[in-house]
Amino acid sequence: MTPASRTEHLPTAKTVEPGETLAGQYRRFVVRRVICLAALALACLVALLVDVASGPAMLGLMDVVHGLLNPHTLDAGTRVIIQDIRLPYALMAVVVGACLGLAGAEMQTVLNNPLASPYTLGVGAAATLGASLVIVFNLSLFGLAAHILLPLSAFVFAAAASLLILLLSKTLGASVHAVVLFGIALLFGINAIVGLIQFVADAESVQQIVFWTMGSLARASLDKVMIVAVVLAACLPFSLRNAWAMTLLRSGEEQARSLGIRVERMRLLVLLRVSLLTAAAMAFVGEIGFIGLVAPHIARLMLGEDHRFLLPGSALAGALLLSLSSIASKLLVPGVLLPVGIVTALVGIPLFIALIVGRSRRLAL
Amino acid sequence: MSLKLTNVTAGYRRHPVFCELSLPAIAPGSLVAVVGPNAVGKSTLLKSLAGVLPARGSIALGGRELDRQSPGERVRQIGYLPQPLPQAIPLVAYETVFSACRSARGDWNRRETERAIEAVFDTLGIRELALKRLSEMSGGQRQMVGLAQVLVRQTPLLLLDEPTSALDLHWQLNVLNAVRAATANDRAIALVASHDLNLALRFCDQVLVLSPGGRAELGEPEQVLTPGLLADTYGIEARIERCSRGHPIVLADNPLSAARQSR
Repeated sequence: MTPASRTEHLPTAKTVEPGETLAGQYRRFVVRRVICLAALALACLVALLVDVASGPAMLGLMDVVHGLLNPHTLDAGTRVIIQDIRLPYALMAVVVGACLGLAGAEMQTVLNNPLASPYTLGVGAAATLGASLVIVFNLSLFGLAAHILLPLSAFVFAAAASLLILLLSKTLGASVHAVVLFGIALLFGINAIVGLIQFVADAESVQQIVFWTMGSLARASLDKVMIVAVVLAACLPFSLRNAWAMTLLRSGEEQARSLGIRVERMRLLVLLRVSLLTAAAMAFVGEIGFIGLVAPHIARLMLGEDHRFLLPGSALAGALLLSLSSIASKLLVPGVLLPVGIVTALVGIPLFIALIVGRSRRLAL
Repeated sequence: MSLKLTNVTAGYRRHPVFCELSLPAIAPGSLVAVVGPNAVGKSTLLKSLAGVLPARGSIALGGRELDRQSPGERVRQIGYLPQPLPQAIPLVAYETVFSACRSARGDWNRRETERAIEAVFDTLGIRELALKRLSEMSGGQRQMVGLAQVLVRQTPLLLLDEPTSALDLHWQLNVLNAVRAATANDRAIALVASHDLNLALRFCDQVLVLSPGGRAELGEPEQVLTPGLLADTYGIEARIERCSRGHPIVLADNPLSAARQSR
């Protein structure tokens, strides 16, 4: 009996057409994914425009497009609303969401842990610690104003937390479990210190810290957007260059090692990238925890585990989630701009559940 | 290309699993079963040959020391199937195999890669799985995809750690036929770690028996797998009988008592 005639022993997929080359069928499969990625990008663009259009003074979508393309045609009031207020907020939501989505996807892959996110390793908590110190102790350094020192301090603390993890990972042999456990310990440790700082702080400082931990796009400006965008643009090519290696690592670490992939080195470089992305994102908007965890899962459900698609897909899913959250933060309570960090989970969870349920239904058919 | 091991020591950090292991040269085209009791070092041997675990001593393939080769050269020489199955993730079988080619066979153009993938799916009889996600497959199916990842690269040394552990009898035979085909015409040497002694007797040219205490014996299956060696290595009372077609089979009767083993 030939092997081909006995494939009934293994349950088979019905997607493969007999007589056609596998490469041809796979190409069609890839085209579907590219379309999916393009749809995600389009959804991000639409969400960005809606984000700019929405607010106390609602603008038409076409007016926003027209206003962005031809700013000189706008009256002064509308130009200020669009260009100086809403566009920076909306763009910040997109770039911060993309940074966190990408960071989460890379981290989940190299730590082989679906619960990993920039928060797992306490990087986000470290940013909060940096911000809290500036807020409570009213620090000033080299004559820097608080609005510059605060994000700087958040960035330095987040990066320091990552360096500490990198250092310990290297000395511990970069075992995945050691990194995750150390990250969780760091998270609890830093949260305890932040709690202690809040305990000794006055009421106004506590309020400011709490506001920081809720995450807000209201601190955005085009300069800050540019800084985050540059970090994202610098990290993304390195992430994509590793896409094949990361795909192999996800399918099995030993197999990846035997294929010449230097797993420890890759893990360290990814942690370094993640710390940069997270620190840059959170320095300007505060803590936004949900995106880094869920955006990669949404991308995985839509695009699968091939990192050529998963990495850009996670960045886009993160951007879309935060953009939708930004819209919701303006619309949930009319006239009030809610901190986006609160809204993120409220918007993200239904979307996430809808995707999981949809996928389960498709599989059950 | 022949394979020669001289004074090879490998293990985990400060705990060597085997020390100073030397073997006669293994000829190209050989299918070698690596057998022995649990924890004796079968997987460690394959991992050290694959470069996944560091090893001391000399491992030469075709007269060239493996540790003197660049990582790129080495992955073109060695195909290693680890014991853990590929993870159940939403990655389709085709791209699992494709990613292995992209990583290890940078010398192939796209057409050559596609042709090799087509051939390996046909040889293993898993064409229907090509566009199925690993997360939707059974353990046996994932093991077949893992094998495709290894065989597709057409390396002169195949190291397969229990490649049939999750497979039913039909697919076990299928895999062994595919491995036999890969070694045909002296194209490759295959080292297959297994607990199935009958598989070793039936399909392999040679068998390497690793015993506790670091002893190793390499030779033709019927000459090496004797009741005496099975008693010493596994602590069992066993017979080698012949089936109605004349093939030798191992029949394990009883575990030996500890007192008798120590004698």
